[in-house]
Amino acid sequence: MKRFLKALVLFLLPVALLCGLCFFALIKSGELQPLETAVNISQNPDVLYGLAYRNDAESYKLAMAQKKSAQLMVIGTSRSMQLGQELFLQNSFYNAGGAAPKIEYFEYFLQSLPKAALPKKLIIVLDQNFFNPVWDSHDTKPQISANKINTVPFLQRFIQDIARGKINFAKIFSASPSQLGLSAIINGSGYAFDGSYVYGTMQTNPNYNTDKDFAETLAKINQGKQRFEYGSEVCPVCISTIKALTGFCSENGIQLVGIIPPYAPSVWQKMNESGNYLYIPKIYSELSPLFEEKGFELYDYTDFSLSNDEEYIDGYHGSDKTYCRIMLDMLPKTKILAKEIKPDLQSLLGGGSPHELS
Amino acid sequence: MNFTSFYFALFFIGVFAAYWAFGKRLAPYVLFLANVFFCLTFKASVIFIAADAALVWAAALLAHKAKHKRLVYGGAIALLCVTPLAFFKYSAALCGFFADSFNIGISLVPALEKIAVPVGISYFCFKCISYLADCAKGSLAPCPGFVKLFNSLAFFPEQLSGPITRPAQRLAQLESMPLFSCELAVKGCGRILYGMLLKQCIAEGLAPAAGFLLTPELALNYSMLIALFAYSVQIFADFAGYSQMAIGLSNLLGFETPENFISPYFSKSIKEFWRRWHISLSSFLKDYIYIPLGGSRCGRLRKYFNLIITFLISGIWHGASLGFAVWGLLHGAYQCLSDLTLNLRTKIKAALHINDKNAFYKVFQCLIVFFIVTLLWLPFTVPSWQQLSAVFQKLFAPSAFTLQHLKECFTIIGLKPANLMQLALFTAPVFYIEFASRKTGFGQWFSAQKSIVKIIIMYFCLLCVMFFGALSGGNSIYFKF
Repeated sequence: MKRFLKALVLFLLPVALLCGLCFFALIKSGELQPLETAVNISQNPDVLYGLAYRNDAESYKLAMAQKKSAQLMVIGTSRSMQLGQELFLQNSFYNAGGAAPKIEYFEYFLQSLPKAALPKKLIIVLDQNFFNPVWDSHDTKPQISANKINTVPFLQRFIQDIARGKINFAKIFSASPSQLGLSAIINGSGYAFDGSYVYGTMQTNPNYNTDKDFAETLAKINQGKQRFEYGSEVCPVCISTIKALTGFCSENGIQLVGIIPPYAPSVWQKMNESGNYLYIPKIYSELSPLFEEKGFELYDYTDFSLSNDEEYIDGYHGSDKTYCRIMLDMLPKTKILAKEIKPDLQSLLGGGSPHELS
Repeated sequence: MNFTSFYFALFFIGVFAAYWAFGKRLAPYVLFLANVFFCLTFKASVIFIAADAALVWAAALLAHKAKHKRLVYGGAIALLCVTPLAFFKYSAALCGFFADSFNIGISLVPALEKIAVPVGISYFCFKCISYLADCAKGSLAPCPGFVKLFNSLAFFPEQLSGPITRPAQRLAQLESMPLFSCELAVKGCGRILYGMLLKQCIAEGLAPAAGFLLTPELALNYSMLIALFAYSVQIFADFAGYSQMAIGLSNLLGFETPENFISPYFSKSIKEFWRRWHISLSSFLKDYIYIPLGGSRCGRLRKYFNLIITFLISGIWHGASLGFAVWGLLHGAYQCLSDLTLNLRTKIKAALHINDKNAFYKVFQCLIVFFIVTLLWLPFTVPSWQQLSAVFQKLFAPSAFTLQHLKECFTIIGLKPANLMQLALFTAPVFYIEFASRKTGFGQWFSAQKSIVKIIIMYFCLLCVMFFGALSGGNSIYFKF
């Protein structure tokens, strides 16, 4: 038995050393940091919070929004994350994009904030697929809780990422304390201090783009899946959910601005021509009376011709420039955000990069 | 708790330490607790397994003293083994069939569907049948100790997907609890790592491509062919991998367990294939169905009938669907056809001057068997006739045979060049090991290697699993049977 155990220990020693090194690197990367620590570190203005192995956007954004008590806030999915502080005059700003993966989460998120932390002005980004009854059956209640840190599976994924050439130990061990998580350290992508999302290498290096020529998005459209399910009518449950939300905002003195976000022009053209998304043009007409009733504003940028395909990260995620153009377009129309949007946004649109603001 | 989970690793380390630390006297009790605990992780299973094992134990002891031994044993087999197996596996499907066809017993169906099928029920019941049948034949004396019998029937490494080690064999090993053997333990480690390579890297790596057999509408014509071959390799890697791990775990506890797979895709005939594939089940069916039916002793026609019945039962055992029955029937029919045409084929070979020992001819035979077996997996895996017809329609859809189209056929089912390269990295050494061990099986072949070769093989397997293995290796395909 002793001989076997000795041989086993010797055999496993190099593997154990490798696992130990990986575990240490994983700890160093901040990937295993509990949410409270991450939120405390995120008070640093230089922070970049980008986890690779778990998505705790909802709980992170909620905790950050509670701490920040911003006057102007953005809530939505990943399609709202490019609305950054640099577009607004208001310094008390936080983008809680990613906190509302479904329509029920908007009100739930606001109700989860203490009264004092509720914003004065709120921008909600309403993804079109929210209103497709085929996409969501609304049978689950919203819930925001921190994801479990599963050390063993994370370690396994880390080791496999080494084999795929995704891990750079030098970068991990030389990362600044304000870079939290492997995505932040390796790709430079994650949530910035204002809650907006920095795409990092995916934005600057087109080879990292997973949706080259929108092939993946177009495949989803062809197959009618993953947010591109076909539908012809607007879901009535969603309309009543928005009605409740506008009611909540009105009661709590929150001025609400709704934005229906853009698709890349060629993607929208394909969707429109397919005739499979008849519910989308109906969203605005169904929602606008609800917004008008309370004195709120709603803007539909589904078909946004002021931006071109090049300015999109993928088929349905506009870049910083796309959202800057949206704000520019809104500036003369909006009353609620008239004093919030920077008047000189045009100057940010210069520069060579199709995605980044100058 | 499957073998590739972190929790199983912790569980097994604990069992291994306690089993060898407590010594020979207490080891059976450690094993008993481990078996019960493992059963407990599948909740409802433990109640059935423990109760049935106790009844089988008591029935064997009572039957041994009874006047009409064989009758009592037969009754016990029917009541304690065949009935629960049939009830759990077929009642819901049968009630569903009657409800659909004759509008009878509709209310029963949802209730039956809610009953959790005890995990590994087939393997457990087969062992019970083997135990009672051997006792009835007089080749095995009823086991007086319940703990020992339970350890044999519900041995945890074999609970989920076999192999079906005969209680006669296991009870003999349990009689004098084995001493620790370093050589056996090293062989066990080698088996576990090789099994993990098969399961985590090859089977899980091919699973997405093989899955397209169930969604032919999303694939192109040659993709179906690729998916079919992927499934053929996947089911072997999955089941053989799981068996290797099970045998390896039992080796670490000091038990020798016979091989369950000996390079089946290197068979030169379907008959040989069944001597190499799921050996413990094939030999069980042979000993407890084919031979009692008369085997090959009662004339040619009867032999064919017995063969067809045995394979039909093998098919039906896999599940209550027509596809499984057709799969079994086709395998049986092919064996009969092969036997019928033996003389004709011998004459043709003689006329063409084909030497049986010619290497090219052997390769040709292996390829033919592989193609037939692969084709026969279709009714086995595709759940309905509509889907099967959709697969065939897609398979024979006309299209130009261009390199670009072929590339698309691979890509559309997720086999991109990087994935193919990765699969080749695992498959090439596995192909070599399977070829090299085709005469003896992996265990004996591995034991005969020099220490350095063993270390290289084990590191190769371990590193492949660590760096490329599926992160969430699910249960074995045979888990559901």
